[in-house]
Amino acid sequence: MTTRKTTPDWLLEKLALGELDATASADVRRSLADEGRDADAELAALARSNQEILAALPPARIGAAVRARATAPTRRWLVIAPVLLAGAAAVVLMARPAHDGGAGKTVELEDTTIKGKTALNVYRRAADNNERLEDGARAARGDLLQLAYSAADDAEFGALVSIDGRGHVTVHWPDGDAPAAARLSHKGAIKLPSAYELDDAPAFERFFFVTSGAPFDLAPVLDAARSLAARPDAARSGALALPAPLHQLSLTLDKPRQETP
Amino acid sequence: MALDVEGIYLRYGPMVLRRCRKLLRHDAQAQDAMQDVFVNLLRHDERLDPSALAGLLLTMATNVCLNKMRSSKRHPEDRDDELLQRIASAEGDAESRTIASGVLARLFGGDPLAASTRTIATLHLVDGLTLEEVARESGMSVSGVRKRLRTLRGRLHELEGV
Repeated sequence: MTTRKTTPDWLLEKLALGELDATASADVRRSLADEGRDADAELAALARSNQEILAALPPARIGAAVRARATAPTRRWLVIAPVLLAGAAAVVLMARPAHDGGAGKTVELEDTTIKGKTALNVYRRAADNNERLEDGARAARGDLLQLAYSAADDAEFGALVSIDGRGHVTVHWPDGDAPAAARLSHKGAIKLPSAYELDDAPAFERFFFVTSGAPFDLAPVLDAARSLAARPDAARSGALALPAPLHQLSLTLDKPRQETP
Repeated sequence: MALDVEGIYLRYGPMVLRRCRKLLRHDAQAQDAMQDVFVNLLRHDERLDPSALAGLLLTMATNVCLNKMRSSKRHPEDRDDELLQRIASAEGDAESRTIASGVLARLFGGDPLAASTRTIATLHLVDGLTLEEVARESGMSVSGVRKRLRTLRGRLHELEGV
């Protein structure tokens, strides 16, 4: 028989749930007593923790978020390789505007934002130009998108996420599994390091730029995005339910049903 | 019949979140990991007996957290955390199968499948479960657990002194 220093939380959790047999339960209680711990007090503390967690993260909210994640494809964005990206970004940056503004017009990236204001811009790469897509613009599967942002002076940290008509949430920036928002640059319009190819998710793709003057965790943002994405009645136009210090901008691309040949 | 996610979360969610917090030491990451666990559960819903899921969910949570730790390196906060991170990065992809497979198989009366050495090592070396308890949780024999821990030690010399 091997021995241990303290009673593992693992066994205490199973004791609290009544999922240890009589012998194992008695062993855990004896082990706790040997350590000078009161089993009933430990179980009461777990019960209090349960209440706190369920109050902060209620079952309806978590259930909706879990179902939305479970039914979504695991990877729906094709991230264009950096080497390609550099070319795509360069095209966006170097394009000369034939017109300024409006959806579908070729624009120069620096001209798309008003200095000093926070903005989210989405560009579609085309064969001979790059279009800035306004809120409500039409897009389709296969479109190659470049995301860019501008940050006002009071926006120090930010994140870019999207939701789609399948209820899927994608984090576009910061990259990887970063747990918190990234520090924003204030040097004009900043393109993300990756471009993305739209998949076949139906109806819409909606991008959110969430900012704050202070560092913030991504988890509440993702929770809010998942909750909104799970509500078809609100996903296209509703706001993310974010904590007060966080600000949000959104841009929705409309994806009309494509005719199949 | 569809799995009652809300009902299972009501009973087990706080336990899963505490487990993820303990391993990841980051609340936001822990909440994300907890949702991953329930997503995995939902994808196995046709195979589940929802009456006694604590061991399965704790195992799944451990596996999810170890995978997250592998992909996002951070500075360890103390000796246990350092050990956990070494365990998390100790194996190659071929060894990343989930111990939960074994527990699932045991729940449904099948033969236990191969368990993740990383998860076994975490249960024994970090959580402090005895070899007998690890064997019971993973559906393996004690000698099988010992063998896997020896394999891990052989791969990761830093664990020799543990």
